[in-house]
Amino acid sequence: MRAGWARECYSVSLFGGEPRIVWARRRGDSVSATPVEPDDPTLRARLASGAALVVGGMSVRRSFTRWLEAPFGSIRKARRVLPSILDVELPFPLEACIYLFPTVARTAQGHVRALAVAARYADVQAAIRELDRCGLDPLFLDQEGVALWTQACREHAPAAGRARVVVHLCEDHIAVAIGHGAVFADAHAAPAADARQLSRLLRAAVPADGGEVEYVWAGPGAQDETYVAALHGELAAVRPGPSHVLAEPDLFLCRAFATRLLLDGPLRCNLRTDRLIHDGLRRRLFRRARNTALAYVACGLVLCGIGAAWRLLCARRDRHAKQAVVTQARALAPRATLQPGQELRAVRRAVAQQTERLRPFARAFAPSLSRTLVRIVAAGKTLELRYQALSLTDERVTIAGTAPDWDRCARLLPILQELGYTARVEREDALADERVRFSIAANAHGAH
Amino acid sequence: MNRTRTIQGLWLLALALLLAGVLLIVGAARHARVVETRLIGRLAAVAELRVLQERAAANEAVRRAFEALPDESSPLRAVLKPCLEQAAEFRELGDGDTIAGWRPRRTELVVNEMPLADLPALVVRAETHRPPWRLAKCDITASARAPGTGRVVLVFEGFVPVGGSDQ
Repeated sequence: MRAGWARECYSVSLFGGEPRIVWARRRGDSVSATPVEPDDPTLRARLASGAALVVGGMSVRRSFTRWLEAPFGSIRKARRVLPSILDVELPFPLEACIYLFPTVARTAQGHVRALAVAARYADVQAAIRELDRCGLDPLFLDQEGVALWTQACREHAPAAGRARVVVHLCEDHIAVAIGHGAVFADAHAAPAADARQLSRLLRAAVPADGGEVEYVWAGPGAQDETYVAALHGELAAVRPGPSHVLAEPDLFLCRAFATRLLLDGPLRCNLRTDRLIHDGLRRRLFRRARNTALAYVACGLVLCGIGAAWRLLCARRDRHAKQAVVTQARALAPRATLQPGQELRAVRRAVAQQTERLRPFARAFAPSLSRTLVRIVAAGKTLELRYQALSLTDERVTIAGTAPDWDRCARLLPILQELGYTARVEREDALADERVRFSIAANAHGAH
Repeated sequence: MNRTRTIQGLWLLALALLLAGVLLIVGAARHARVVETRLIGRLAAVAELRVLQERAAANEAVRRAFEALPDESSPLRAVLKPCLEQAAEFRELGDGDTIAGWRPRRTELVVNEMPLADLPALVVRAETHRPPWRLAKCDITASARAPGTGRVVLVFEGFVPVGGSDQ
C-alpha cells in the first residue's frame, strides 16, 4: 500500500533488536534517504507530536509469500476463493493471519494467479511491540521479501530471462528473494552465514538448466567484501552467475520500505491492517471514505437543486405568461368577469359586442356608396348606357338598362370589380331600338 | 463501528439524494414539456389579444372622434331642403345605441320625379355635413315618360345628438 499523500517518512528496520532509521523524502520520481539516529531530537519531537509517518517491515522469518492459482478466468470470482485456497496451504487457520493479495492477474492459460503475502496476527503484534519499545509506532508494515525484490529491481535492473537472487545479509539471519527477470518468485530466510542452507534453497528454486543466476547483495553484511565473496563462491558453485553489491547496502532495507511507501510500484503491501490497523491510518481512511460519501451527497444535493430550480423556473415562466394574458384581458375587458382559462373568450366577446355597437359609427369613416354611384353613372355616360333601374347597397349592386352594342355593358364589370364587387351580366338581343338590353348583378367581395 | 455506521449512513443519504435528484430532474423535464405546450397556447393568446387590442383601439378612436364633435347636428330634412325643389318624403328608419352622446339614425328620402342630374349634388351635400349623412342605399328607377328623371329612394345614415330633434 502506498501513502499517496506523504512526501516524506521515517523507515525503520531492526537489526539485532537495534533500529536502523532513515529519513526518506520523495522528489518527483525518486526518493532520497538520509540515516537518522534513533535519539535524533527532530525525530523524537515529530514522533511525540504525531507528525512522523513511520514504516517498518515484517521479516521473512515471521511472514511468508505464496503464489496461488485459481481455476477461474474471472478475477472477481478468483478473489472470492483465493482466501480459501490460501487456507488450504497454511498449517494454521487463516483467521489467525493477516493476509493480502498485492497482485492478482490472469494467466495465458485463462486462470488467475495471485501472490499472497501473510503473517500471523501474533507475529505482527510482536513486530509492532518491538518497534514500540524503540519509541516507533509504524503506520505501515511492509514484507521484507517483496521489499528486497522490488527495491533491487529498481536499483539494479534485472536482465530479462535470467534468474536473480537478492541476498540481504544481516548479523542474525539471511533473507533471500528469488525470481526470474523482474518477476518475484519466493522469499526465504536462512541462518546467518549458512551457505549450505542457501545452496539448498537455490537448488530448489532455480533449475540446473536455468542458465546463469545473477546475485545481488545488500544488508549490513554486504559491506564485508570477503564475506560476500565467500558466500558467492559457495552459491556460484551450485548455480553460477555474476555478483553485484548494491550501494549503501546497510540502509538498503530501510530504503526499500521507504521507496515502496512513497512511490507507486508493484507488490505494495501493508501487513498492519485489519484489527491491527494504526489509528492514524484508520482515521485517514475514515476521512477519505467520509469525504467521498460527502462528495456524492453534494452531487445529490446539486441534482436536487437543479431539479427544483428547473421546476420553479418553468412554473415562474408559466405564471408570468398567464399573468400577461390576464392583465391584457383585464385591460381590454375591464367590466367582464374573467374566469380562469376563459380570459380570451371573454375579451373576444367584449370586443365583438363593442365592435357591433360601434359599427354604425365606424361606417361613418368607411368609403361612401356615393363613390360607387358616381363611378357607375360616369361609366354609363362614357359607354352610352341608359340605366333603367339602379340599386346600390354596400353589399349588392343591380343595374338594368340598355347599351348601344353587345360589349359595352360588359365594360362595367371591371369597374365594379375595382369598386369591390363581383359582377355577372346578362344580355338580350337588340329589339326595335337596336339597343341591347342588359342586367348586371354584383355582390361585394366575400358577400353571397 | 460508529464510524462504519456513519459512512453507511452517508452513503445511504447520498443514494437517497442522488435518486431524489434524478427523480426531480425527470419530473421537472416532464413538467417543462407540459409548460411548453401551455406557453405556446398562451403566446397564441397574447398574439390574439394584441389583434383584439388593435380592434378595441380602433373602436376607441371612433368613439373619441365622435366625442370630439361639436354637440350639434341638423336633421337630414334640414340639410337637404335647399337642394330639393320637388316634393320629397323623409321617413325615419330607426335609431341605434347611443355612444359618446350621439345616436345613429337611418333616414329614407323618396323623391318620385327627380332630375337625376341633381342627384350627385344632393348626395355631396348630405355627406359633407358634420357629422356626415352617409349614403347607405340608393334605388333609382328611370322614368319612362320623362327622360333624365326618375324615382329616387335614398337611405342615409347619420347621427343626432342625444336629445336632438327627430326631423
